[in-house]
Amino acid sequence: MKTRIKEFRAKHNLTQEDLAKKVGVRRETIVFLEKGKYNPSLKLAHDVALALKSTIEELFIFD
Amino acid sequence: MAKMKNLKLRFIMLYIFGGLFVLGGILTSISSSPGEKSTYMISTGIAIIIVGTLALRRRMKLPEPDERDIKLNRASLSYSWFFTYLIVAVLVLVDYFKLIFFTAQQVLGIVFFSMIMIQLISKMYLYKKGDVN
Repeated sequence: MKTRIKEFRAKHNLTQEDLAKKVGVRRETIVFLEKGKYNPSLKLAHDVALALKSTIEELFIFD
Repeated sequence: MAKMKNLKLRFIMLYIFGGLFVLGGILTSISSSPGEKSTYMISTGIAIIIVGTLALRRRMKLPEPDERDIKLNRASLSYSWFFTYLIVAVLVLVDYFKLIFFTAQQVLGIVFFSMIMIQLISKMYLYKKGDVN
C-alpha cells in the first residue's frame, strides 16, 4: 500500500505531530502510515482524509 | 480522561491485591507461628505494590494508546498464547518419551517465563515492523 499523506500534509503545512493530534493517534502511527507499513482502520483513514481535506481514495493507493 | 479513570482503577486493584497478600501474611503469622510462609506472603504483597506503582506511574507519563498500540498489543498477546501452547506441547512430548524429567514447579516456571518473554519479544518485533500483517 502506498500513501500520499506526506504530500497532502506538506500542502496543508502540518507536521506529523499536528496531524497525529488532529486525528487522535500517536506520531509513530502517522510515521508508519506515511511509509505504507500500517493498514489503518476505516475510521482512522476517514479521519486522516478529513484532516487533510481529501478523500480516502486520494490518500491511499492499493497496488 | 478515560485513561486516568482506567489507571485509577488499576491503582485501586493493585493496592487491594497487594494488600490482601500482606494481610494474609500478617494473619498467617498471628494464627500460626511466624515462619517462611508469612514472610513470603508479606514480601510478595509489598513487591506487588512497589513494582505495580512504579509501572503505573511510568504509564501515566506515556501518551494514550491509539488503535495501532491496541492492535499490536492484542497480536503480541495472541502470539504469546500460541507459542506457549507449542512449548507446552513440546513439554508433553518430552515427558511422554521420558527425554528429560521435569517437576510440576519447573513446568510452571517455564510456562510463566516463556509467556512473558514471548509477549515482550513479539511486541518489540511488531512495534519495529509497524503492523501485524
